[in-house]
Parts: sequence; structure tokens; C-alpha cells
Amino acid sequence: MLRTSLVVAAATALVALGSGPVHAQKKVLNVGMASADAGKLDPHLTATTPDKGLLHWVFNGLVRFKPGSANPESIEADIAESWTSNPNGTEWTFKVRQGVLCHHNYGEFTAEDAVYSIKRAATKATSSFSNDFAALESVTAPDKYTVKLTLKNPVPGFLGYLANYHGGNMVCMKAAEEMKENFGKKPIGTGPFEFAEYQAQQFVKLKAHKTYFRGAPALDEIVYRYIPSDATRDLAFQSGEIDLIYGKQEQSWAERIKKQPGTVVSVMEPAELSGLYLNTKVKPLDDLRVRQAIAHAIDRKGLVDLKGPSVTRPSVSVVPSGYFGTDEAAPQYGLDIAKAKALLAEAGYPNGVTVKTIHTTLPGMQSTIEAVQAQLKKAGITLDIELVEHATFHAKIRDDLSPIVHYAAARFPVADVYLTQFFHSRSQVKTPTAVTNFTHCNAADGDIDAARVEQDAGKQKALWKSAQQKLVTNVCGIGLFEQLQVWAWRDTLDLGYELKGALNLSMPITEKTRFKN
Amino acid sequence: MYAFVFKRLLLAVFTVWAVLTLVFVLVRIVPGDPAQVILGDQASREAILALRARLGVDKSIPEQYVVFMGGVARGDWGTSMVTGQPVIGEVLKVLPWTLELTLISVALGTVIGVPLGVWAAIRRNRFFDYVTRIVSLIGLSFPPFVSAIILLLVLAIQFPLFPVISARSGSFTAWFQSIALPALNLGLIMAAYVTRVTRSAMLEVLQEDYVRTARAKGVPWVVVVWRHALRNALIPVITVVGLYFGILIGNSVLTEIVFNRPGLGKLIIGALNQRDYTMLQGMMVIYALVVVLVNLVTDLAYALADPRVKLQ
Repeated sequence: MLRTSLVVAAATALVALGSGPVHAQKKVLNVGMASADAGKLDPHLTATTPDKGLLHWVFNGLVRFKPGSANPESIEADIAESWTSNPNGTEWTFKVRQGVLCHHNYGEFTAEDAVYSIKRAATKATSSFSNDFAALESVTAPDKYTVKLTLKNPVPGFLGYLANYHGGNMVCMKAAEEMKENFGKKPIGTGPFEFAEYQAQQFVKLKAHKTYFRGAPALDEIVYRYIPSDATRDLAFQSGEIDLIYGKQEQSWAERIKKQPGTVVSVMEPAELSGLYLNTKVKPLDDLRVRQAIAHAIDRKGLVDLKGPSVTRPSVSVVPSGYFGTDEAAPQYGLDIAKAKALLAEAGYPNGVTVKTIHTTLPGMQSTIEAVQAQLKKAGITLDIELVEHATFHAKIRDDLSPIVHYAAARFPVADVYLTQFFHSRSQVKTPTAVTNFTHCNAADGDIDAARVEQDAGKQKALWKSAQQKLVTNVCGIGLFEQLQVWAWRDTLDLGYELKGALNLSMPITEKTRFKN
Repeated sequence: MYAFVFKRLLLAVFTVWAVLTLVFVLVRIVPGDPAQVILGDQASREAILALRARLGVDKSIPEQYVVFMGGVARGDWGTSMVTGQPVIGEVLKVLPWTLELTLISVALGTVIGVPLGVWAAIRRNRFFDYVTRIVSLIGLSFPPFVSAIILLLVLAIQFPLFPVISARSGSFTAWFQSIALPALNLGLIMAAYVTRVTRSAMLEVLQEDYVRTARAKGVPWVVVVWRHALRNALIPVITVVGLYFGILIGNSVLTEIVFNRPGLGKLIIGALNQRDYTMLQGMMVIYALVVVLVNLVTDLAYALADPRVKLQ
């Protein structure tokens, strides 16, 4: 009897203690992000996915990408209620909305704050995106609600640089000046949610900005949890502890998570273009025929099948598809093993050739390069892969140590950005103005420069097309495939708009986002 | 006794200095630019150079070493390159989480492992002994991250008694839910070690003459086992527990990641990925100090367990 009572008591205690996971409340959104911790929460400094995924819920731009879209053509008013520009796009005037309030009682956001923000974003010491504003000649506030910008020369898609993305995020001057370098610890913006709390390695908590100019958000709170383990993030979603989960860019993941009842999976823009960048100045890659042989040995369809067609699509060019100015039918080399072998023999390598690449151990990227290695082998090309962890990979490729660089990236969706960063000689690695040109290829410099200042949109597109054709035919780069962003959430969550894409790589959580019941 | 402790503390200072120097050199030998990692792959070269200068990583290695050691001597561990917060503050913020997990796991491992080991020794070559040996072998074979996932699948998903994300506080229930699975994960693996060591030690002691004499004198079997035999079998057990404390801190890295629990483990992985040199250095010192301290306590515990052991 006593034993039975003890067992019952123990079971009752266990049930009482283990009352199950705390489920998300109707007004609190729990997000699971793949990161161990927050980085610098300063929108002008950080470019990492976990940080910018959070910050665009806190900040506005003068203009914004329409929620759910990553298309520059969808840009609409944000803090600025209207704007005008001269015909060649070198002078811009923005009318700032009245009554836009900064978080935590930092007062009204005015043109002075906008001027401060743009200058801050254009300054090397305070911004990672100062290059985006290299053409900025002046920015002034003629009155409390007017901002005037003058550019030295036209910049393609310049309006997008003033959107809620990277350097376009508007900070509140008083807060930024007060906090200086500590601004990233308590970011102050004007967005629908304001920073509330940070717990190291656990979460950042945002609270509703009740006086948000578009109206008080329907959600009270967002808890942005840092969960580095993929398995744990998935289990936390399964147990109901998180409502919105950053997914893996893998079809198998999307299919698995979709099987959970009440789950919505979204595969959205922007796509990251996975490409090979060939150093055209080192042997044997300095021989065009060797580069062409590599291009002919690549089986894009095979790679897409490997990654999963629901989250991946074949590349169309050396610029991701859908960007303003992408040549959607660039003359990419097709799979032709016999031709690849013939080109190698012609180049003096009848018995094949060995090329080295330094590569990251990130699983998603490693599986790609191993598949490429197997494909190249069929044409007699041995890809010698030196695996290093991710930070080392970035250091080594920027030190120009890898003859072939496999890189996956999405950029601001205007062809000029991708072409300049990856193929213009000004962006050559190991130079003072280096970005990510690993190719030493300058075949398209003229077209890229000419397109940047071209007033006629048609001619501009033609120049970008010409640039892409030169880069593809000279095999400076080889597009492999494009991988889309994958997120999943509970079907009780209503984003408040149709989600097709999000430039900040996480979907906007707006004042309209809410739980249905 | 005091001379012994003093000597061990001197050795500890040397050990910590050696660890510091080694870590300082190692983290800088590994390629990877903290400024690049912090700012992301789209950052301009100018921004990266500016941040490198601000972080002080543009100086030569010897210069950085002098600055670092000077700071250590003044008790200044520097500031995290990523968060900009003082390293010591960041480490102390999460250290209690790791210590709590480790101490509870050690307690759990000992409380489960010692009685099981004793019982298995007493029941040598009988059913219970076989079961204990097999189960402990399975426990030893399990990597902590695998057992952690299994625990989550069973006790957080199939039978939702505990949360997946183990970082809660505020009430005893929340704390218990937070600590239970991670501690169980580490504690059970440790219990497997302790069980096997206790069993071996007990088997040896139980064959000693004085045990036989005690039995012959009519001392009850329970008293013989727990008072006479166990105390003499404890020395190797104490050694294992002491050594395992260090292993547990290492194992806590993966456990903290899987249970998404704050702690030194999660901090060290983040710092490593982000090339946060100053943070890595600070944590290595803490690890070294904890291991040195535990070894010292272990040595002192020998004397308590066995008066024949003299500390000189």
C-alpha cells in the first residue's frame, strides 16, 4: 500500500513538474535563428544573416521594399512620404513624414536624423556599406521634414540604397550620438518593434513600438532565440517552443518540416547564386581552353537534382536571375564531356589536369564542391580540395590563395552590384579597394562602368548584358545553381502580406503580423 | 599541508601562464580575420581595416602579446571583439550555468555510479552484475551529443515532460525543467565511468585479509562493505571523479549546444567561429583555473579518504 502510494505520489510530482513546454502565447512570437549569439546589432555595421534578419524589424528606411517582396520595383514610401529626383538621378529630395517617433522616447524622427543616418552609413569608420554611398556628394536638411541628396554621378538603383536594408536603415541621431560604439548593444530605430532585452547566448527580446507611425503592432513581443544546433532548432519547433524557424536550404529539410501538422514552409527570394570563380592569371587557368573545359564539364541539372529542385534552380548567368539587369539567357557553356576533353588536349593536357581549390567545411557548400569534383573528374580534371573551416576559408580566398573559389551569395538586386563586386578589377582581392573579385578578370570593366552612368534604361540593360556575355564566354565565372531562402512557421501565424521574398533574408514582421487565434 | 597547497598554487600560476601563452599563439596561428567575421562577407575593405585597427589586431603579434599580458597582470582581460563587453564580465555571466550543470552532473554521476559499482561488485558474476556492466559499457560508448538528442526525442517530444530549450529560471519548476535533461545526459555518462571504477576497486578490496577478518569476527556484511571496504576503495573513485570534472566541462560544450543552454561551451564555440581572440583567451584561463583547482581539491580529498596518504 505504502509502495503504491509512493509511486502515485512520484508520478504526480513528475507530471506537476513536467507540465510540458511553455507554448507561445498569442501575442508573443518566438523565432529560432541558426546562430550561437547576437553579433553587432548596428544596422550600418553588420551584414550577417542572423543580425540583419532581426534588425529590419527595428528600423525603417526612407523608402522600403514592399513587405514580402525583394524586387526593387516594389519600393514604396516608408519614413519618407514622397520623393523626387532629377532625370539623371543625381539629385534627390525626400519629404519625411511628420510624427515618426524614435523608440524609447528619443523624440521625433526628422530630416536631421535622416541626414545623420546617411552620413553615418557613408562613413568608413561607422559603416560596412560606405562603398554604396561612394557617389554621395552632399546630403542636407533644408527644413525639418526635407532631405536633399546630391550625387557625383548616377548610381543604378540608388533609391534601393535608402531602403530598409544595410546602409539605408535610419537611426535616431540623439541615441546614436549618445551611445556611440555602444549603439549596437541597444539599437534605437523607428520600426514596429523596439529593442527590449538581450540575454547572452539566449535571445534578443523586442517589444511592440506602441506609437509606431503605421499603428501599434498586433504582436506584443518577439523573442529572437539563438539556437545554433539544427537538430535542436527543429525539435524546438516540433515541441511548439518556437513559431518561426530559420530553415536549411535543403529540399529534404523542407519536406521533413512540412510533414509536421500546422506548418507552413516558404521558399523565397532572394536566391543565392552558387558559382565558381576562376583565377584567370594562374596556370593552368590562364588558358581559356582549360577554363572552357571546366565549364563544359559542369552538369547544372545534376547539381539541382542533388540539392533539390524545390529549393534550387539552375543558374542563368553569372548574376542571379531576377535582378534588375540580369541576362536571363546568358550563353553559358553546356555539359559536353567530349568537348571538355578535347579542349584540355588542345591546351596541352591530354592526360588531364589538376586544379586546386580552398574550400569551407560548411556542409551545404562542401557537398556542392564534392559533386563538382565528381563531375570534373569525368572530363579528366582533378579538383584538389583543401578543406578549412569557414572563417579560415574567407581569410584564405581573400588572400588570393585559391585558384578556384566556390562562393554563394545574394546581393542588392541590381546587376551592377554583383558585377562590380565579383568581376570589376577595382574589386580585385588583395588590393586597397578589394571586395570579392577572385578572378583577376577585367573583361567587363568597360561595360560595367558605362552602364553605371548610362541614362537610358534600355542601353543600360544592354551594357550589363554585354558584360555578362563577356564574363561567361571568357569563363571568369561559372554559375552553378541558385538556392532560395527557406523558412517555416505555424499556420496560426498571419504575416499580414503575401511572402515572395525578403532582401534581409528573414520575412518582415510588421504591425499587421499576428496570430489568428 | 600548507606547503603542499602553496607549491600546488605556484604550479597553478605557471600552468595558467603556459595555457595563456599557448592559447594566445594558437588562436592567432589559425587563419581567419575577426573583423571580416564580425562585419560579414559584404563589408568593404576599408571597414574591415578600420575595425582591425579598433580591435588592435593590426599590431604585430609580440606587441599584442605584451598588451595582453600587461592587461592580465592588471586584472584586465580586455573586451570581447564581437560584443565590446569586458571579457571577464561575459565569462562570469555564463560561468554559473556551466558550473551548475557540471556540479549537478558530478553529483548525479557519483550518487548513481558508486552504489551501482558497489552492488555490482557484491553481486559479482550474477545477473545484476552483468546488467550493470553492459549498461555502463553502453553509457561509456555514447557520445554526449547523441544521448542528448535521444533524451530530447523521448522526454521532450514523445513524452513532453521537459522543454527542448533548457534555459529557464524564475521558479523551482522552471529551474528543474531547465537543468534536468542536460544534467541527466552528462550525469549518466559519468555514472557509467564511476560504476566501473567503483566495481573494480571494490572487487580488489573485498578480497583483502582485513575484510575476511572482519567477516570472521561477525561484523555485519553491510558494515563491512560500506564502512571498511568502500572507504578503501574510494581513492581511485575520487581520482576518476576529479579527472572527470575536467572532462565534464569539455562535454558540457556539446551538451550546452544541443540543449541550447547558455554556458562556457556555447560561448567558446561562438568565440571560435567569430575569431574573438580576447574572449577565447579569457575562457581558456577559466578552464585552466577550474581544472587546476579541481586537481588540487582531489589531492586534498585523498588525505580525507585515506589517512595513510600524507600531503607533503
